[in-house]
Amino acid sequence: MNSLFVFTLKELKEQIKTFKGIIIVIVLLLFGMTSPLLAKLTPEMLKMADLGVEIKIPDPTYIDAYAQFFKNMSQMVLIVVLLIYSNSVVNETLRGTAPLMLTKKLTRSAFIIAKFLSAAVVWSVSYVASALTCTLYTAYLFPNAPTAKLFLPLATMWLFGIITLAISILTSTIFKNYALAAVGGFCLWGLTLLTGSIPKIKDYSPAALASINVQLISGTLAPEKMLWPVLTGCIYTIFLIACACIVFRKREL
Amino acid sequence: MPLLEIKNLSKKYGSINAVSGLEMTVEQGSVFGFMGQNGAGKTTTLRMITGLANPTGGSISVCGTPVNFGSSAANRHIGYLPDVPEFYGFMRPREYLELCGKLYGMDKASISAKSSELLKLVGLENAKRTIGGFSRGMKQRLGIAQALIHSPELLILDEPTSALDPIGRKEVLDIIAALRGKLTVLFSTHILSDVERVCDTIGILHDGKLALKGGLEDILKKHSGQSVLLETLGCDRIHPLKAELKKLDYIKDLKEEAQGGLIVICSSAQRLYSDICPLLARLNIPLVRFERLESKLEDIFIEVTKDE
Repeated sequence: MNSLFVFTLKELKEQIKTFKGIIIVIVLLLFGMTSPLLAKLTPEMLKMADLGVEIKIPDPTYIDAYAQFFKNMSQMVLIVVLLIYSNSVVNETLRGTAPLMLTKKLTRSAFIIAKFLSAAVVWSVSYVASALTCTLYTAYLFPNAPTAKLFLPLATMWLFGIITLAISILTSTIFKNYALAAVGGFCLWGLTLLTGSIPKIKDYSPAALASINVQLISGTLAPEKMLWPVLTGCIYTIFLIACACIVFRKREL
Repeated sequence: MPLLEIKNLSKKYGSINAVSGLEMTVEQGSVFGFMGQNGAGKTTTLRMITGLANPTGGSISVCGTPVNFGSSAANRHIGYLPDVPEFYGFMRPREYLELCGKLYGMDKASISAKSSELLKLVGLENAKRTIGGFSRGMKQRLGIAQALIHSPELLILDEPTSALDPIGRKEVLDIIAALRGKLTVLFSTHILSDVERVCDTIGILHDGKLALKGGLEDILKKHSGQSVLLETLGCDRIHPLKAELKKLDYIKDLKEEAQGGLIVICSSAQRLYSDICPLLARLNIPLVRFERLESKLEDIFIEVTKDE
């Protein structure tokens, strides 16, 4: 337990000193700030573009701001996060820094869990800062925006980010080079999202955590509907990390 | 009881036997030179001792604690320096040693005192920059310090001098020499002069097995007198002599030297002493010089690792 804590702290320190964590914070803050602004300005920008045809665009609302935020998170931010963390284990095994740590009293499972926990801390801090920025800026740009009902849709997107991290840690453990780890992570992430399109399982799929957030805010979906995706999302995360631990314990270094 | 005990250890990579039925013990307090040609299986063996590689068969124990692949249980007894140590480049040497000490569960005061002592031992007490800017020699010295942070009983060094310049090599060997008597060192190398300088016991790995093991002095003594230098008058006389010597079953090798010199390596010096004078007389070759040579580790190494 002590070695897990020590190695997690080292990982956090590394993410700050190598700017990996700082890049994630900046990217997320940027999207948190620009999402409501983009929602507010899109109609104006289309008008100014003068496309030669008359386009009727309804006035933007706070729902558009959050829709933009969730779209950015699920389509761009999580891909950046996936690519950044898919080299976390493979980098140590390829460079040869892992053997020196693993010949101390650090277990292989603790090594993997520390990688995941530190990534989760950076993601959580960045996401909270980004969501808070988005909420405050949305409230400023759209004065009638409610702040109630926001916790669940924001929390489910956070959980999907945690799943994304678990995917990147697993593929980083399975594959022995950077490119394969990144491509493998992207494929598994895509497959996870695809389960949200399969009729029989879509209501239970963790993919729902990143796709029906706006419906929760607009009130067109009951919060109870998220129970299964949250549950399967948690189980899926534990499963991915357990698989990473098992694979790493069998890996010769 | 030996500090390190290896029984019937084997490791296969596909159809290749990297290590095959290795039996080896390392006694407490010794500086054990673990020798072998490139690819002999030295690094594989060391990786199995540290639990980084999975043996195909056999067992290893360190201070009575069995080594299991992927487990860190026996690591408290071991300090390990791989052949090319890599560190976290963003850290400073003291920071890295602190991380290692914390991973062993040491308290803050012990880590601080031990770090200062070790940084002084390896000559890095004034190195304030990050490890990313270190030379190879500095990394090797830091590698020794991190391996010693928890005062292990067994220090395993995998070819610590092979990639260093003469100054870096001397510095690392001086550190190893300074550790003599304080702990047990298992020192893998193929640089024989390094072994002669710091080791008191040697083991030569060949074909995945320990082909020779013993005290360095004993081995050198046992093999002394097995090489003889003959010098004849005129180079042309050496060829018939070589041809005749080759016929003798106890002659192992013949090396021609300049100006009619011939080094004869044999398995029985006594028989050579009896046979050489009648042979020279029969061939009518005048002898200028006959000298019993002191055996070198290099000759022993070549003899042991020579494929039939």
